[in-house]
Amino acid sequence: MRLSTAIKLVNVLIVLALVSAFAVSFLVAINSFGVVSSIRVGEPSATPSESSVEISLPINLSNPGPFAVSGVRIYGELRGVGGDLIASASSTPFSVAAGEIGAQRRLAVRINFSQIPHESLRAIFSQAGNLTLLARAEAVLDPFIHMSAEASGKMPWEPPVRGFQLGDPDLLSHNSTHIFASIPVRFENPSIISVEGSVGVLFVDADSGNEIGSGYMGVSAPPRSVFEGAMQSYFRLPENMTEMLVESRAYRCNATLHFSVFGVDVHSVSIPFELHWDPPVGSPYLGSPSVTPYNSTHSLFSLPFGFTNENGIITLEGSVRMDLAIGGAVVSESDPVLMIVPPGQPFSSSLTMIVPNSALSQPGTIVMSMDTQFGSASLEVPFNG
Amino acid sequence: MVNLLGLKVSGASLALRVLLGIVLGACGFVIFYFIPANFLRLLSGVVGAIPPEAAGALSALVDPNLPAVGLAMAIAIFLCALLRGTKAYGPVTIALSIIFAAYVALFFHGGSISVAIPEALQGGDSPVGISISVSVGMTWLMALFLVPSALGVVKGILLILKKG
Repeated sequence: MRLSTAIKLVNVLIVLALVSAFAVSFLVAINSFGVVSSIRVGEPSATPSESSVEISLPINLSNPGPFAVSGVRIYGELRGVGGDLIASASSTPFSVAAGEIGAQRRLAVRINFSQIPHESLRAIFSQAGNLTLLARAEAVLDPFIHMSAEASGKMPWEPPVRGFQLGDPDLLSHNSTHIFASIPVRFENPSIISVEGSVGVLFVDADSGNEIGSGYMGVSAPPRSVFEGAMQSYFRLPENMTEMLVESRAYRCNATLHFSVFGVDVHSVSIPFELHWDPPVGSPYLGSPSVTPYNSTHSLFSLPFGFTNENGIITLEGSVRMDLAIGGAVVSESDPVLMIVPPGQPFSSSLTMIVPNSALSQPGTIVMSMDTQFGSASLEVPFNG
Repeated sequence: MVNLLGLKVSGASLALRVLLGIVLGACGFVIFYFIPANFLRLLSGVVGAIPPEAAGALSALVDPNLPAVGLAMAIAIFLCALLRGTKAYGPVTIALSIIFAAYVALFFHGGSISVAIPEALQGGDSPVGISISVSVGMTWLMALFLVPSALGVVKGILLILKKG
């Protein structure tokens, strides 16, 4: 009798359990459909701050019930060419209570670039390849359904700086101590991120190793663009310009492009190059002097000379004069010859001075002095009378 | 009178049992075997032609062993209707409950269903090699459907005890 009652009770429980299971399934289905069909996703926005970016996705949804929706969150991660984790971020989970209609929520993930290992950043910004992007969204319909969707994909990636190069410098201005020049800078940004940074160049004397000049400019290249700009540079002239006026020099240079993403310095590209200084007074020559009678006591002494301004950017301006010194004393001097020699142009002239006839028979020294905007240079030539 | 495993039943009663068993077994056959075995064909009859890419994802929703277990369940339902009140009713009830539990477990894929969305169904210009998968965890819902099975086993044991 007791067993029969127990069996009847179990039968009732079985029926109740079946009805409950199907009823709950029906309600879960209705609830899920109601929530999913009410979801409206707004425009995502990105808010960069000092060293991070917050990507925000507004969501409007309703939950007709009877179950609460909870644990709604998104997670994303980015892996480099070698599969190493570059960045990951997760939003704060939110819930929508049963019966809440027109709920406004925000899924926000913050990526802090300053926390990304520098080596990872260097790798990603110097290698082309495929990046792996993983995104996961999760939601729970308490307590029966836990839903997650995961998307992963390979994203082709190009480093944001390609073909970084400097052009030939253009002279802007100069004074007695410095040359100011403009150096064209060009590079391509084939990537999907902006390049915000700077280009710096350092001039180093190849012989002494001393820094003799530098240049700097800010650069900003939007995604998939070509950057072209002119970098202002200065070049400090040595105190003694004599050698610079007449001799070639080589300068070892290093141009470096630094750039940052959302304020974090992520990469630098360096290109070494040599800068050659060609003398403004190149290939100088002295012609054969000539002496012609001037009067009974003096003669006219002429000395042809010439040179080529081999420098590519500087117009040489100044004057040349000639002195005759005998025994340390100047016995005669010429009038100065003015010269304006554009880059690459030859210059030739003749210096003339009136010399006492007595001096022509004594050994002495002819001193040619050149005064230019960069300083003076002199050349002493023995004179044997 | 016919002796049906220790239970004396009239010929009419036996015929009625057989008829009821056939009807219930046929219902069980349709619900638990025919529908899952022909899921795609039936669905395409309702919603129209299903693209081959989607067919793969949808067929993943139905466990390949589900129709076979469904067939076993239809047979068990027939036997339960036929052998009701006999000595074998208890063991058959336990067998039906266990088969139903197995069916539930297969239906819910053990509590979690994962489906990979084919690339052709993702739409838009997706990045190269993207893959999307959706996973639905329904452990508690599955547990709810396992309660009748557990109760069925209890009922079967009680029936055996009663006959014993």
